[in-house]
Amino acid sequence: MSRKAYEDLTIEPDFTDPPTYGLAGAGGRRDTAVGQGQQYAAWRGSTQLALGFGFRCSSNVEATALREALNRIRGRSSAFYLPSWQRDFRLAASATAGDTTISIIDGGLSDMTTNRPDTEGRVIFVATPAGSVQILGVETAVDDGANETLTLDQPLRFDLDQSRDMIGFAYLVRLAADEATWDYDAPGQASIPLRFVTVKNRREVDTADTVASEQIGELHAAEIVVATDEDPVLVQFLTPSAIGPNVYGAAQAQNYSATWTASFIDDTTVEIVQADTLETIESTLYDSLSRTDHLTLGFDSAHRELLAWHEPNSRDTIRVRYYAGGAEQDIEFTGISPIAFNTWAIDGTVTLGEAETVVFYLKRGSSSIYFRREAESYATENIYLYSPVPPLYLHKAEVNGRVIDLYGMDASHRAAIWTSSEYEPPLIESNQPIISVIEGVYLQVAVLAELGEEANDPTLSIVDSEYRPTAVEVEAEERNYPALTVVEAAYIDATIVATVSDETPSIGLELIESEHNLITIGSEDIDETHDPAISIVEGIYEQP
Amino acid sequence: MSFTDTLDSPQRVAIEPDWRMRVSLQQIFAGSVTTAVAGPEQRQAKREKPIYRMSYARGGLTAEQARRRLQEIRSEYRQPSTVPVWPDGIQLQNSMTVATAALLDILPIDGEWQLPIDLYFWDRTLGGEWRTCTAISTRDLTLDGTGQLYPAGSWVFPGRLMVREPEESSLASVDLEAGVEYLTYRTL
Repeated sequence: MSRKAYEDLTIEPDFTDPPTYGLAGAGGRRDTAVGQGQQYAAWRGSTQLALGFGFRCSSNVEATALREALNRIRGRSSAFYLPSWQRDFRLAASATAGDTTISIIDGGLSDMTTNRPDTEGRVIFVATPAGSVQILGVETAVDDGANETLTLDQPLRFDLDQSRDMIGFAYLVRLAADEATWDYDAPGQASIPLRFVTVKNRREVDTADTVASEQIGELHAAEIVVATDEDPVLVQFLTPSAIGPNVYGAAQAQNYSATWTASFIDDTTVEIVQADTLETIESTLYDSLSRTDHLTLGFDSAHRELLAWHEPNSRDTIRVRYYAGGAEQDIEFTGISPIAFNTWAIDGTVTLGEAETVVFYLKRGSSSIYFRREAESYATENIYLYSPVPPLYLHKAEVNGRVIDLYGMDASHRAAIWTSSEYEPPLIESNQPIISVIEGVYLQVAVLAELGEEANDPTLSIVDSEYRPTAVEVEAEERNYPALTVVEAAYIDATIVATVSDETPSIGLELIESEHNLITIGSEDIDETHDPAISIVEGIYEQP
Repeated sequence: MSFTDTLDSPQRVAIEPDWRMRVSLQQIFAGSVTTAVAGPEQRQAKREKPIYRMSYARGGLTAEQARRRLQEIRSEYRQPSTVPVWPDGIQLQNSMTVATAALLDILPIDGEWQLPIDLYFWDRTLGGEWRTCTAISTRDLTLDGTGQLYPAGSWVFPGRLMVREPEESSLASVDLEAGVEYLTYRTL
């Protein structure tokens, strides 16, 4: 286990006025006196240490470094590691750069817990008079009698002299105040007193959990969740970006890779702009009467946009507007922080038909992440995953290699990332049609029909050529049997047999190797509303 | 009747500090910290970049100048001005050979120079002059227009849009007898 990547503030303080160390919050103790008796109760779980250092900058370079560090820390909001700048223990032996163990004289670190590497006492600093400072995590501390051997989480960057150099604790702290006042004698010549308090870090390390989740199209849902203590990014929810088509509304062969950004041009009009070509479309989908506080942009499989947003003046209503067959459709449901996404951006091996357009969202009081898919007209609520860290808000969805990362903030205001597992090609999935291939010389072939439960409209085409024959099984719902039509021609062989079972509706197609002069096609119980067309085309082809 | 939109063309005011009286620069962030009884905290930053409050004094005014300053200060209160951030001065590494380029000796503070930026050049013999920087490539400045050629070691102070804040009492803004003016500016 390792420490988390907090910033290290290793700028050396000015020791002209000695650093001060104390307790913050008056120790958090409550005394109750009844008569002569008195009871002491600690009502706070931890007492914070307070550290006060004065910093003195004698050049523009030093002042700039400290100013930039304070700008990154942003007042009280960020935690960082700060050396105690005192000899909390002593080196038992010198060490050289590159060492990952050091020996100290009975520091008591072996008594510390090992499963929380960020807790006090597990992080140390080493410093030399020449100004080299390094903050190190202590992986293990082994007591070997008089001394302790510390195993460090990274190699030493410089030599340590037993008789000279300083070693002590580094504390996870924050600034005690949001304001800091510099006193300048001249540009770059300044002094600044800063006061710090330790913060409690109860977390072990970055949480990475495997969770059960629902598959979206060919994309497995999140399997890994990582919550970090990084400060959540500042996110603007009025100018969302999305991965979409190269040209609006135009079909393309490659998966989506162009970045589009939506923004309000007035309170009720949204325009979307392609980042590379600057193609600009004024979307007509946004129809609320005032500007929302959270808008998200996505693209459907017809290369057109969809918008989802917090309905203004409603506490937790998401409104989704999208195109269905060219007409604008809308739906409202309960939720917050919608994030639209098209899985075609994930991987070029997915076809557009296999990709799904989804809207991720959260619901108040639930630690699950939900989604609705366009294939279900956003009418069905699906649970994407049961998150081990309660999500508070979703910020964005991003393609990261072959996975999708959902970025957000968890309930303790940490940045959290929900990462999907790697994309797998569709034929591996068991819900795909089963295709078996038999080798032989054929002049004709039948091509499978793809039948879903809802969309029963397969188009079959039959092509002449030399083939490795294909036997195809198609599963169909009851009464949804494809109608096969055949154009007769001079064929040498091919027999297609369709059998239909009353109980388990399916059609089995088989191609049998032999010489035939005719084609037999069986079809039964054709539902009148389903009339898939099969056409047979003659010609010389190399591939089915 | 129309109101002046002062942000369009803020006036540029450079009142040089008396460094013997120090210049104070306060970085002001905004955040909230909620601490649970058990110890853990929830912290938020509500401001990405700090607001700066700069306080200093200028000396050496004659009584007459000091009285006139009282009149001028009133106009300075009305609107934001572009003011040099005196503590953030950077020296020129080389003497300028053309009026449109200058080389700083260190990089500016990350993220604090928003281009185009008004810069106040100052040298003890040449005096001060406002210039507009339109581009900066590492430490190389591209300057707009023309101006004096400042020697190596001259100071370049970045201008920030600031409002002048009243002192605790308006009477304390200018000390007429001592000839000292107290100034406090705050960034927007």
